[in-house]
Formats: sequence, C-alpha cells, structure tokens
Amino acid sequence: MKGTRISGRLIRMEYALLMVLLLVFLLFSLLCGQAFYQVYNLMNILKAAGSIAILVLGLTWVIGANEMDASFPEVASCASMVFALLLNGKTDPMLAAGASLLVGVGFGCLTSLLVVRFRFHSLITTIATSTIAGAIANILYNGSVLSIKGLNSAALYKFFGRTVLGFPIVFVIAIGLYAAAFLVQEKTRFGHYVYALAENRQAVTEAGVKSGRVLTAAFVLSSFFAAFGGIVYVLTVYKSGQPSMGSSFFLNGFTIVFLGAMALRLGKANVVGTFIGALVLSALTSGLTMLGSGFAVGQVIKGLLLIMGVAVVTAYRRKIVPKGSKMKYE
Amino acid sequence: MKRYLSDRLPVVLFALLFLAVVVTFQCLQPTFLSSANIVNMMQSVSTTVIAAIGLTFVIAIGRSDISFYMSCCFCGVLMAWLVSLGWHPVPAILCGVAAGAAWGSVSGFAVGKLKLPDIITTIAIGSIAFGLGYLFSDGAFIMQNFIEAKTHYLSQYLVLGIPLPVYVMAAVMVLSYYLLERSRFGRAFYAVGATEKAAYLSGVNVNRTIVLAYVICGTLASVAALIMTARQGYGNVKIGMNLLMPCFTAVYIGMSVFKRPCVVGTALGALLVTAIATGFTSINIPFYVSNLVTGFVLILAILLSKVVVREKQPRMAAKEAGRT
Repeated sequence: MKGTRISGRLIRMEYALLMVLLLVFLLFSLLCGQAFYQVYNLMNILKAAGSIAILVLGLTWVIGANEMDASFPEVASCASMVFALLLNGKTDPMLAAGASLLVGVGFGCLTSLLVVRFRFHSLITTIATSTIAGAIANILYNGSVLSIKGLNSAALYKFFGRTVLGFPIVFVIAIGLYAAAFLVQEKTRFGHYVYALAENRQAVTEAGVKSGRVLTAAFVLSSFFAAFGGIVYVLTVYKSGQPSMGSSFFLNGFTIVFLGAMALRLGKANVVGTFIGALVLSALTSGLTMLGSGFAVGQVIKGLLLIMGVAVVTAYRRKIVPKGSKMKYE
Repeated sequence: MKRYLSDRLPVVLFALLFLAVVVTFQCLQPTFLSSANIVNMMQSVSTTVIAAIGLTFVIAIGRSDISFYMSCCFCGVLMAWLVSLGWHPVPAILCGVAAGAAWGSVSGFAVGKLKLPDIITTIAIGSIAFGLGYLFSDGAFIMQNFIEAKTHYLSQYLVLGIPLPVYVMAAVMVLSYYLLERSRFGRAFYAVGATEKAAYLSGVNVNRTIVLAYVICGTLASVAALIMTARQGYGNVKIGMNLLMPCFTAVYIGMSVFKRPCVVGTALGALLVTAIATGFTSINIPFYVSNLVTGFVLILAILLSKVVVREKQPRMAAKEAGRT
C-alpha cells in the first residue's frame, strides 16, 4: 500500500509549519525573556502579521497556480502614494482608498493582459510592471515621502487604530478576509482550477476550463490585495505615502507564501499556510528586533526559511512524477 | 524574399528605435552626443553589458537568475572592505570576482544539482548574499583608502582615450561570443534551453551546464559591481540594486531582435537601455522616469518578439504555448 504510506508521511509533514511557529516562539522566549511575552508585544506581532497577510493574500494563489508575481511590492508602494496624494487633495478617505484599490486592479489587468493574452513569461512581465509601478510611485511626489496632513482626524484612520476584544483591528480584518478566502479556495470552482492549473495546464484547458480567466483573476487579486496592503500600511504604520515601501516586502512576501506551502496542502501555496507563515515571520522580526540583531541576520534567516519552504514544495512535486519517467540527470 | 524581410525586420525596427532615441535626446540636449557624454555613456554601458551577458547564459539555458543583482552587491562591498583594510586593489578585485563566482555556484548548485525551482531559489540566495553584504560595515559607505589605492583607475583609467571598462566589456563580449555561439561548449547551453531531455540524450552534461551558466552569471555580475564601485569611489552595499531591470531588458531586447538570447543582441539591448537612461539624466529628469520608459520598452520588446517571431520560439514561450 504505497499510497497510504505516502499520505501517512504527509500528515506528519503538514504540521511542520506549526512546529516552526512554536519553535520561533520558544526560541525567542528563551532569548528575550519576559519582554517577548508582554501583551503589548504580542499584539504588535499580530498587527504586523495581519498587515503583511493582507498584502500577500492574492500572491498566494498566483504562486499556487505555479505562476510568478514580482510586482506586488511596487504595486503596494504605488497604491500608498496614490492614497496619500488623494488624501492631501481633500478627497474623502473612502473614495481615496477606492481609487488606490483601482490602481492595484489596473496593474493586475496589465499583467494578466500580457501574461494571458500575449503569453509573456510571468516573471519578466511582472518585473516590467513592477518597474512601471515603482516609477509612477516616485513620479507622483518627486521620489520623496509624502506625509498626510490631518490624517489623525480621519474616520478611516481612527477605525484602523481600534481594537476588537483587545485584538488590533487589522488582525481581525485579516482573519475575516482569510476565512472568506479559505471558503473560496476550498469550496468554489475557482479554487480548484487554480491548483489544477499548477498540475497540468494543458489538461485543464482541454477539459474545457477557461484557464485564462482563472489566471486573470489570480493576477488581478494579487495586485488588488497588494494595493489593499499598501493602504493598510499607510494607515497603521507609516502615516504617509512611501514610494519605496516595497523593498522589504519582496523577500518577506515570498518567504511567507512558500513557508505556507508547508501547511494544510503540502507543497502548494494556500491561504491557511500563508496566514501561519505571516505569524511566523512577524514573530521572527519582532524577536530579532528585540535582540538588536542587524539587517544581515534577519535577511539570512528569512532566506534560509524561503529555501526550506521551496525545498518542501519541490520534494512534494517530485513525488507526483513516477520514478520510471525520470532521466538520470533529473 | 518574404522570409528575408521577416528575418531582417526586427533589426531594422531596432535600428530605427535606437536612432529615434538618440535623435530625440540630441534635439532636447545638444551636448548629448558630445565626446564627454559619449565617454560617460560608454562607462555606464560597459557595466550593463557585462552583467547582462552573464544573464544571457542563464536565459539561454531556459532559466532565470534573480540573485545576480543582489549577490554582486556583496562582491562590491567585499572589495571596498578589503581595500579599506589596506589591501592592494588587484587582490581585492580578484577576491570580489571570486566571491561572485562562489555565489553563482551556490545558485547553480541549488538549481542544477538540487533541482530547486530557479526563480524563488535565486531570490532566496540573492537575499542571503545581500544580507551578508551588511556584515562589512552595517550598510554604511566604506571610503577609507579608496583614493590612496587608486581604485578609481578600474573605471576611469583611459587607454587611448577610452576608459578601461570598455576594454573589459570588449574582452567579455568576444570571449562570450566564442564561448556561447562558436563552440561546442556553447551549443550545450542552447541545447539545454531548448529541450533538456534531448540534450541529455545527445550527451550533454545537463547539470554541469546549468551550474556553469549560473557561475558565469554571478562572476560577470560581480565584475560589473566592482567597476561600479570603483566609479562611485566608495563601497556601497546597494551598488547593484538597479541592475536587475536593465539587464533583463537588454537580454529580452536582444531576444526580440535576434530570436534567441545572444551576445550581440544583449549588447545592443544594453546600448538602447543606457542611451535612454543617460539621455534622461542629461536633460535633468530623475532616474525613475527613465525606469518608467525602460519598463515600457521591455514590454514592447517582448511584444515585438511575439508578433514578428512566430516560428522558432524560445523555450519559455514554447512551454506556455499550451495555455489559452
């Protein structure tokens, strides 16, 4: 019974990410002592996790469909600049947020037009669109940070400063979005098609699925949530438009999504895993900051975590391919 | 005749585009084609060409490398650090290049031997390299000893009125041309890029070819970073962070003109990208505007290659032909 043996092993692997999360908490509680467990610090970790989780929600499905989106950090910065600019122009905050989200959708449409209609390679396309988004973010305010006047009195800002039962509202929103996304991923056809596309694109297309539409939706959602995340960061962290906000999201985003592929659906990026991945990374960042470690340590640890996630994904995908069809070099 | 035209059309289009760019900037800024600006342009085109040719090898095997622009930052700051310790520039430069080869071989090992997916793995390895670059000075500029050691000779020393990097670029171009397009060694790269299985069955050592491509890419990127560090006059850990876009654009422009990743095409692409960038700088428009233009040029280049070149698609496009 080869099948059961594999699934038996998989069930154990599926908890690997939770173990990592526990390990991170244990490690930092040993290293940092009490300070790490202060409610204030834990809530800050949840707040950071919620923000970055919203930002990479859409990216999860793009990676899940075995495509690539390198444009999400710059789309987030571009949306943050548009949001800040509109707010300073005395636009209604909700309207400004809506316009920034539309900017995100626009970039998603551009990417999917090129990838789906003209069959560009998604990496190259998103490198191009990310450059364009970054350039626009810089052009909007001559490349400098745009602080928002009178943000403290805006209702939207106050809303993001609130807590629900002691939890930061960003975290609550993220949980709500991820619950909805989980239903979409598990219960709708879109969710099934996303993962089917990763397995065998031609078979999916020949079975009559409009795979172009599925991909378009994935790319548009990725940019939409990137823009959403950008706005959340403006409201919760920066209080200003940041033309180069995205530089730290690049590695963090991919690390979170690929760590997430170690949970629930082993070897596939999925929303539950991404959410846990966001918690792991935020706890890690908070602990490292508390220890006063430099940029290098964080970067190396995140890089190693990313490689670990990728290795698990690859090991799983290799298991699907029967041994006989492999060449010696593979 | 029709065949001949469709083969030459991309070259003509490229020439027209390049001419249009040069004429536009010449009209806007009369000093654009002055000898000083041309020397300046040659200096900056040389680094882009050197790094982009390395990337050409990786694209030729049908992979992507997102680590080179980050790992070369490590090499640049390593050289600066060694110079600041009082080393002679030559061994410092050699160390920098060796570090580039080492990072390239790490990526190559992960992609070629361990068979990890190329894009994400190289992002991770590049980020690690970039992070380690902060160990030397925690991100601060390193400028001790730079003037005394005459490091700037690497970028500004004039031989027959032409700066040294141009000679390096020419040497890299000639070597790579013979290596990639005129030797059995180079056929292996294209063979792996076209169909790995067929390459393996015809006796190519696939894994070694993949590793080699990444080593070449890492090495050449480090050479570019060292020249850029020498030009700036201090060690800056972010030295290579703006290489990613121009290099990919250069390679893809080359691919749309010559239908496959090749040395001459990449060099032409780099020339166009640099002309745009220096042109915008010469009329005092900040770099992010030229980024915007370069982004659209990249999209245009790929569109051209898709529209004009229907037959003879490169591996990446062929792989995706099944998609609708």
